[in-house]
Amino acid sequence: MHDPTPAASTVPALAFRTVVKRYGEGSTEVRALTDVSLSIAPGELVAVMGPSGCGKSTLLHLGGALEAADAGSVSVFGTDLSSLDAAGRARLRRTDVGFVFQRLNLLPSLTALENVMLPLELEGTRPKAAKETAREMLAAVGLTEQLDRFPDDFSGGQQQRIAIARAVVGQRRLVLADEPTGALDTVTGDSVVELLAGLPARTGAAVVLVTHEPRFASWADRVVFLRDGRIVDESSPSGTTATSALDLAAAALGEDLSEGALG
Amino acid sequence: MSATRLATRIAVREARRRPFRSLLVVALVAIPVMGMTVATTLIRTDDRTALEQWDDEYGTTDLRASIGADAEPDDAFLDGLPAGTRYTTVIETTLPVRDEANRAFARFVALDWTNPILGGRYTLLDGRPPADGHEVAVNRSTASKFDVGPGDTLDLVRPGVSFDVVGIVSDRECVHCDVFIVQEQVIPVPAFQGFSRLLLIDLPGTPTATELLAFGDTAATGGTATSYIEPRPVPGIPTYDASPDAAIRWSIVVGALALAVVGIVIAAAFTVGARRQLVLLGQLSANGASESILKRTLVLQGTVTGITGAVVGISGGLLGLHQFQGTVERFLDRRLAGYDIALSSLITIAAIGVAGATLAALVPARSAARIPTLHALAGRRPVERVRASFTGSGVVAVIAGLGLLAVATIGARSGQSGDTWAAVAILGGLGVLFGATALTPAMVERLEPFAGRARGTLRLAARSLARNRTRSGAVIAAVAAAGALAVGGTATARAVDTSVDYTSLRPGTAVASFVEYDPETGFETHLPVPTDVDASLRETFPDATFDTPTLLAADVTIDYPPDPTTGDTYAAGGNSVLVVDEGLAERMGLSSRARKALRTDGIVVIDYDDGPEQDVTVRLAGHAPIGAALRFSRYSLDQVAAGVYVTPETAATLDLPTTESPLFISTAGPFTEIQLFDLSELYGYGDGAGGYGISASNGGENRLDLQIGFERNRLDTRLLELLLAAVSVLFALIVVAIGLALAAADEADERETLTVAGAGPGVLARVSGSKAWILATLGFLLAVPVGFLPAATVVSSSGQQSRALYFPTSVVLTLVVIAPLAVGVLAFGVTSVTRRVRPVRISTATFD
Repeated sequence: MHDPTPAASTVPALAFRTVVKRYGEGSTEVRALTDVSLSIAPGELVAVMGPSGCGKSTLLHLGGALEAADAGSVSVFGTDLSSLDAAGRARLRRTDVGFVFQRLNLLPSLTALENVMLPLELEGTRPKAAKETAREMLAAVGLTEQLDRFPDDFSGGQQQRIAIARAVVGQRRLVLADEPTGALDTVTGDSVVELLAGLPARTGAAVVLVTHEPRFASWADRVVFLRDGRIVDESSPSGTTATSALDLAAAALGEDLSEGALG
Repeated sequence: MSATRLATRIAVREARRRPFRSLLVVALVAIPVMGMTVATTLIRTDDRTALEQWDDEYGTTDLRASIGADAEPDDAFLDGLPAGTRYTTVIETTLPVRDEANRAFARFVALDWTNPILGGRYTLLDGRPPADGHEVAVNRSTASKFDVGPGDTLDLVRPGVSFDVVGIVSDRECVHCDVFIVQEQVIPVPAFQGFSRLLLIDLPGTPTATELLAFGDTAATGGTATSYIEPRPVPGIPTYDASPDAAIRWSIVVGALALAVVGIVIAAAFTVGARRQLVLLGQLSANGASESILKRTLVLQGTVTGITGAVVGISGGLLGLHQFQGTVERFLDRRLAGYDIALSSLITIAAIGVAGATLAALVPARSAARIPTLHALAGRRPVERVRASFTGSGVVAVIAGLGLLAVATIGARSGQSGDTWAAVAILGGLGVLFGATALTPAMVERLEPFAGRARGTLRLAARSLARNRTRSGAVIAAVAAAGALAVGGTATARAVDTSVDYTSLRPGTAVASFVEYDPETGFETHLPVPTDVDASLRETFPDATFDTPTLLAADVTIDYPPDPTTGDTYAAGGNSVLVVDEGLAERMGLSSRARKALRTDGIVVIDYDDGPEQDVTVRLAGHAPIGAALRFSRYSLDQVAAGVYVTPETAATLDLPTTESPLFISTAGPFTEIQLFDLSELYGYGDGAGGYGISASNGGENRLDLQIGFERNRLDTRLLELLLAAVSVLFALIVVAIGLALAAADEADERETLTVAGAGPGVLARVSGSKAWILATLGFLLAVPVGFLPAATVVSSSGQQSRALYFPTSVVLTLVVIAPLAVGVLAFGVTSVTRRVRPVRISTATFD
């Protein structure tokens, strides 16, 4: 388990201040997030848990400037996202924030290497340098061969590794992973989460991991529990086992979170 | 730069990953590009300067003298030519020939074909030249037609001679025609047919224009047998060289217009398969790509496929020209050393093709790039209300387009700057087309309330189309573009047809007149057509109607209204009036407008001057003036009468003496090739390619005139309507099929949900059929105003009162009712079969 060192930076990697996010209008209005305040330090691994529809993904989307909050503020490394225009938000995603989704992570028309080079090329890095950096990142996630092949030629686990490499390439300091193991088998899922969990130590990046799996949450420095758009609990599962993390989650949510109960 | 390179790389890869769509776009770009390439190359190749044409026809000849058919070159003239001058004679005539089974209009040529003056125009391919009067050398076309070669005997029933075929020749200037090279004395010229004798003179050195022109003066004043001397058109000799630039420009404009229409289909192709494209955009955006990069990625896909289409089109066009050079040579009727290919034209054409595809991709790219990242990642477009400003801009574009069309038509009437007005008209047409395209989302939006009221599969189909507004709108726009062609084309064709009387006799009609000329009065009097001529005509046209209309003798004066500019008045005279009943008027091919005037006023004046329809006054000696008669433009009917036509009822009131009239022959359809050939045998040569028919005389004091209407290539309006409707329906079928095929992948969720809910293949097929029906119906409904309004604007602005505005009801009904049903049934059938062969498999992705 990585031990975050808040002293290294006083500016949080990601900060939510009384954030509200609504969808729909009038009678069809749904509050996805209500008064959410949360601060994630650089180099911290935070797991976000909660039942379906509780607002986990919305939290990530707001953090990655894919959506805008209706009230409150979201800042990334001190930059208030509401102050950014479309170009500024795009630049933020190129330089500071990396995403790992459950699926549809990679561009099918780009090779593994090119997928990792993508943010660098968009930023204007020279191709040779971008290629070199991308190779290094792929090597760091355990991929050194067949990098000129297209995503369809790789297994699901390998594709997620490529996605993780792309999420941190270019010294991006905030990785937002939205159920990255959802489409993977258990063994592969474990290795992917292990990789994500190792990022803070290796790169200093903050990682926000949305997951349904308590055993993955047990890797985190902190677990945030969401329910109906509100943070209902935060805990530090360090030193706990997966089972005790499960108990923790169940206690926080007041639900049966045993393996059989989770869909 | 790096980002652009990335966008280009993705665009190229995406184009490869979507082979069906890419092939479609490549084909849509390639076809007009190929057309432009072939057209401009052929125009350039066919365009020869007067000097080039002279070189091809007469080799090194410096002077060409026409001499009398029976005359010999004047010795004094020849003696006066400079020392070292070479000359040769060429005798030529064209005659109908046939053996027991085959017919041909043959060029009989007698010449010394080895003479270097001819510059190798004739080449011996096989055998030897004819050495005596029984021998002939023929070209390949003739050898093939009569199935003869060197060593065979060719027995001609007409002109009743036998030839020993001794050689096969090639005539550079005559490919598809039939050439007989014979000795001069055996050219079988009938009594009424002349032939030309040319004296070709090759002067020593390289004479200047002044020197060449001096020979013409010498001949004119020297009293030689040479009736006309024409100099080689070297620089300094006045010639008329028509520039091909305008034709080239217009062929490119027509191609660009075609690209504009298919551009809507291309835009639809880029729009309908958008789901995977949207996911791609979402991923790029999530990784920090700006809106401009997203747009560039999509637009460059159009550019990439456009470049491929342009390369395929140009290569295909040039390859086709190369492969079918023989056909082209037959078409141009001369041998080609090669094609005149202009790199500048090809670059222009390629640029138009690439620009067309790029612009077509730009429209969907602009809207797709603005889709929020999360929606894009989910492959969805947020369904929003159609912006009123967008619909409004469509309405404005349509109105502006119609305005430009009106301005162009009125401007064109001034007779000045034709190219400018045509360009304005094209701009107007495009305004209407693209304006209508902008209206399609609003149309699709109206499907929502319809879906609420509809039931069963129709509701499912309507709802699905309404929720995929952009995609549905794109398909509707493409169908509308196809349908507008049919509606606008037929409306215009009909309007033109009702106004313009043929500039020659109606195809399938003939007038035989036996005329006696009075040299004292200068008048010609019709005599009865001789019985042998009458009999031969009836034998040639066994199914024809023979009319001998009543011709009234009268001193006729037609007073025309004053010229609006000068105020001058004008009157024309004549000496006869033709009596026509309704049946004869129709058989003569008088326009419906002229016939209506005849019915209403009892009199109509047909003029053979082109010009606007106007009121004239007809004065007949001894009668009160007859006003309000209409004047229509029409050539050649003066062969029948002086242009004044009256009904039998009017004739009865006039009480004029009758005179002998010409014989009028009419058949239901155009005359056949064999009938034309038979006429040529009877009355002289006519190769049937001209527009004015055969006019012949049998010599003597009385003259037999035979005027025949046979515009063989004239397209019947109803056939044109049918053709346009058929092409349009076919195009629409293709467009709807493309739309549904490209959308099929995006609709997997819908199919799977329906299947899970218990829908069988039949339901899926009905949904598919209903969608196709709705799309085609809306598209064709939109096509009616988009096609008809421009046509109506042009017709009503043309200033031709006689141009009746025609609404193509049958075409519209076919497009709006029958075609959508056909499209729907086809979609139902195809989906039915597909779903039975490939049942829906539920993907885990949909429900995970």
